[in-house]
Amino acid sequence: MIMSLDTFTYRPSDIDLFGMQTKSKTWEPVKPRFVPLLGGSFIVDGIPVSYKLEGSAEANSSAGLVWGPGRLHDIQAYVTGREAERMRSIRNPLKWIPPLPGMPPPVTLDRPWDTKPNGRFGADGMASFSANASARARAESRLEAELGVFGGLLSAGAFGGLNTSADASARTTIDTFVTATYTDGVITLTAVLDFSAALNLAFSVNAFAGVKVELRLPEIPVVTDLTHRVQSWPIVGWVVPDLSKWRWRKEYRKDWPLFSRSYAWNLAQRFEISAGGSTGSMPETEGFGMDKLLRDVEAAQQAGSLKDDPVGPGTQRRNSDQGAVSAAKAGALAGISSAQRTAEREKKANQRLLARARKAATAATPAAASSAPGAAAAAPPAIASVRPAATPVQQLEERGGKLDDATKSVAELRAKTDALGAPANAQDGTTRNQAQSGYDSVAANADALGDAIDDGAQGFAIPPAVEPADADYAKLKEAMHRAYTAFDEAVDPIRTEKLYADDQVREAGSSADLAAYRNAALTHQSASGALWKRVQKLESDLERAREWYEKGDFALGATVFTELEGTARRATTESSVLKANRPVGDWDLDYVELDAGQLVLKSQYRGKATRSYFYPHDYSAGTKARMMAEIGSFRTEEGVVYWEWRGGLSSRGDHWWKLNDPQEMPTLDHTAPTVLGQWNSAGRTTAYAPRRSFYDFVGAGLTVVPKQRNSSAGGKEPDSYTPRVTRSFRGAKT
Amino acid sequence: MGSYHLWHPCYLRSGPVTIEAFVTAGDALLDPRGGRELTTAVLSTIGLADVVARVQDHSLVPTRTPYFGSYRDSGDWRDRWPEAWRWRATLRPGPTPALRAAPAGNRYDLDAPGVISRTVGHWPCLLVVDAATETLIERAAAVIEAAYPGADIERARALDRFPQLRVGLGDHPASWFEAGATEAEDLLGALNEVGASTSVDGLMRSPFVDPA
Repeated sequence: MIMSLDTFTYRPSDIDLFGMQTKSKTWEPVKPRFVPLLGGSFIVDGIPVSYKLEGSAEANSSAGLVWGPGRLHDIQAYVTGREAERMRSIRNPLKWIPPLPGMPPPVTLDRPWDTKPNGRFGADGMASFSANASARARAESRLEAELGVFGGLLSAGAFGGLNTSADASARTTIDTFVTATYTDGVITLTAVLDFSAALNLAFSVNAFAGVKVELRLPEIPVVTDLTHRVQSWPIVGWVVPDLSKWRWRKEYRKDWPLFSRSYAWNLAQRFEISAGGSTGSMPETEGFGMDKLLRDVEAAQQAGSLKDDPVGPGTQRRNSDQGAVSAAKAGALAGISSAQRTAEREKKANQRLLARARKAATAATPAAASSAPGAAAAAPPAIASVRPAATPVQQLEERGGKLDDATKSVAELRAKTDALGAPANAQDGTTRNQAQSGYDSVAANADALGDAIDDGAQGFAIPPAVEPADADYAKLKEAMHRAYTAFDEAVDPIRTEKLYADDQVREAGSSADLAAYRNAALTHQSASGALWKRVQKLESDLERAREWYEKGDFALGATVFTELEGTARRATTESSVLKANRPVGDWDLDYVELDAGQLVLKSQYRGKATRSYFYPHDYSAGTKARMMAEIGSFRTEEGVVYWEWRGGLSSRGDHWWKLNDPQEMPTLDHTAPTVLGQWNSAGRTTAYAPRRSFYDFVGAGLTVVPKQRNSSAGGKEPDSYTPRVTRSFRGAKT
Repeated sequence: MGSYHLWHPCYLRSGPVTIEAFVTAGDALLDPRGGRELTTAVLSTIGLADVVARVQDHSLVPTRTPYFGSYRDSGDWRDRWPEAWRWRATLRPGPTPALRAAPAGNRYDLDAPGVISRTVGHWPCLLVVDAATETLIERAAAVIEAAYPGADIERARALDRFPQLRVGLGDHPASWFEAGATEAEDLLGALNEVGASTSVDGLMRSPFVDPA
C-alpha cells in the first residue's frame, strides 16, 4: 500500500479468524471399462478347460480437507485526515513548563485519551493457517467369464479382479496477504484464496484371475438315499457314504503385477475466510483423472496362461478301479450276510427265552400273563410317567420286535446293494467311485448292525431279568461271544473259496486241453467243500451248545464255546492255505481267461483289437525294400507320378495308379492267408514270433495292391477274429 | 488296416493350444505327405473335424524313434530306429474340444496322401516314455535330464491316462543311428531300469492296461 505522508499507520493486535475446519468430497465413479484378464485353455488330467475372463474395471476418487486454525497477523490500519493528526499528536513528547511562584504547577498532556483511531480506514494483514489435503483413488472390478470344460468329468467356475488403491496426503502452510477494513477498532475482511495441493498417488495395480475346477460327482439316487439317512430304518446312527475322498477341487490362479506407477494430482482447494470464520471447498468437477489410470491398466494387460495340471483329480478319483469296486461289493455282501446270520441267531435265542419267560409268568400268577396279546389290548393306555416297569415277557417281546426290524434293515441293505449294481458297472469312473462309497457304507452299516446285536447295544440286549445273576453265566456269555465272532470271521473266506472252486470246475468244462486244470480245480473244490461242511456243522454246534448251556451248567458251557472258538479259528487258517493254493492255469494269464470250458481272450483284446495287439503294425525295412522292387514301373505325367498295377483297372481305365493318392497308393496286402485267416487257423495257438514272421512276409511272396483294393481297406476287414485260444498261445510281443 | 497309423493324439501342455500326434506307416509304402490335406485327415480321424478351420499352423516332422517299431531285435538299424512323423497343429483361440477315447488297439487308421521317401540324411532322435504313475514319470524325467541336460522334453498323456514324455535328443545323421545310437540306447536302458516303458507295445501290456 502506498501511503501519503499524512497517513498514520495503526497496528492492531492479531486476530483469530477461525478454528479447525473439515470438508470431504467424492467424485462420481468413472464408467466401467472392460479389460481382458485371461484367456486360453489348459489341461487338467488330460481334460481341456477353456476359459475367457474379462474384468470390468471402474474407478473413483475422493478427497478430504482439514484446515485451520486461521489467524490474521501483522495487521495495519491506514488512518488518514484529522484522525491521523490526532493519532500522530499522541506521539509528541510531553513539554515541561516551569511552575510559576504561588501558582499550582501547570500540566500539559499533549495526547488524546483514546489511543485507537476512530473512523473507517483501509487495512491489511497476513492471514495464516495450514491445510491438510488427503486423497484416495481406487479401482474395482467385476469378472465376466466364459468357460468350457470338456469330457464331462469336471465342472469349473471363474474368479478374478483387480486389486488397486492409492492414498496420498499433502500439507499446505498458507501465509498470505489479505486486505481488510478498519472501522472504529474492528477489523473486517473477506477473502477468497485458491491453492492446490500436490498429491502423489502411488498405484500398485494387481490383477488376478483364475478358474476353479472341480471333479463332478454324479447323482446316484441310491447313494444319495444312503447319504440322507433313511429314517425308516430302525437302527440309529447309520454310517453315511463318505464321498469326500472322491471330491477334488483346485484353483488355478494367475496374478499379474500390472504396473506400479505414481500419478500427481494437484488438488484444487478454495478457502473463503473472514474475520468470523471460513469455508473450504474442492472446486474440481472430475476428481482425479481416472480415465488415464484405466487406460494404463488396460494397456498393461497381457493374455495370461494357466499352467496345466498333469495330475488333476488323479486316476483313483476319476477312474475307479474295477477291482476295488468288486472288493467293496464283496465287503458289503459279506457284512450283510454276517448281520443276517446274527439277527436270525438272536431271533431263535429270543424265541426260546420268550417261551420260558411266558411259562414262568403263567406259573407265578395268572395276572402276570397280562402281556398276552388279548390282555394287552384290553389294558388302558399307559401314561409314560407312571408306566410300570416292563415285565420280562414284555422286554423280550420288544427285543423280538427290534430283531424283526433288524432283519428288515438287512433286507433293505441288500436291496441297496442290488441297486448299486448299475452305477458300479457304469462306464465312467466317478460313478463307479460313488458306487464304491455306497458299498462301503452298506458294509459299514451291516457291520454296525451286526455289532449292535452281538454287543447287546441299541435295545438288542437280553433283558437282565431273564438272565441268571451268576458269575459262570457271565463267563459263558463272554465265551459264546468270542466263539460267534470267530465263526463269523471264518464263514466268508471259506464260502468265497468254495464258490471260487465251484466256478473253476464249471468253467474248466470238459475240454481235453484243460483236463489238468480241471483236475486241479476238482481237488480244490473237494477241499473247500469239506471245509465248508465243517463250518456249517460248526454253526449247528454253536446253536445247539447255546440252547443247551443257557439253561444251566454255565461253566462247562464256557469251556465248550472256547473249544468251538478254536475250531472256527483253525477253519479260518485252513481257508487261507486253500486260497494260497488255488489252481493256476498254465495259459497266458495276461491276455487269456477261462470261460465256460474254453480259453478266450480277455474282452479288451477281442474283435479288431486282436490284430492290433497280437500282430505287428508295420513292416521291416527289408520288406519295404522288397515291396518297392515288386512295383513294375513308374511314369510321370503332368507332374503326377503313376505306378503300374496290372491286377485291375484304375478309374481312368488303365493300369496306372496315382502314387500319392490316398486311395491309389501302393500298399501291402495279406491275402494268402489274410491276417484274420492266419489268426483263426494258427496265430491263436502260437507265440508272437510266428505271427510276426507271417505279418512281415518272411519267406513269403509280397502282394502289392492299390489301397482301395487292399483287403483291409475301407472297413472291409472283418472283425471275426475268434477269441478262443489255446494254452500254447502267448500274447506278448516279445 | 490304414495306410498309416495315428498314435497318441494329445494337447501339448505348454504354449498356445496345440495338438500333437504321431504318424507311422501302416500298409503304405510311401511316407506320409504333410500339408493341409494331411492335417484335415488327421483331425477328422481323431474326431476334431470341427476345428479344421481354426488351424493356424501345422507341421509334420520326420523323426526316428524305437517307440513304434516292431523289429527292435533286427540287425537293420532302420528297424531298430524306424521313422515316425511328429504331426502338430496349432489352433486359434476358441473352444477346445475334448479328445475322444483311443480306439481298440490304441491307434487310429489313417488314409492320407503319401510321398516318395526323401533322403534327408539326418533325423531328430525321439524317445517316447510312458509310466504308470506321475512319480515314475518324474523319475524318468530326472534320468533324462541327467543324461541329456539339453533334452527337449514335452509332457503329454498316453491313452488319456498315463503320463508320457516326448523327448527330443537332437538331430543325428544316419551314420549315428547306424552306429548304434549308443547314447540314446543307453538312455533307453536306464529308463527301462527305473520302470518306465519306451515302446508302444510296452504301453499296451500290463501294468498299463490292466485287464481288471
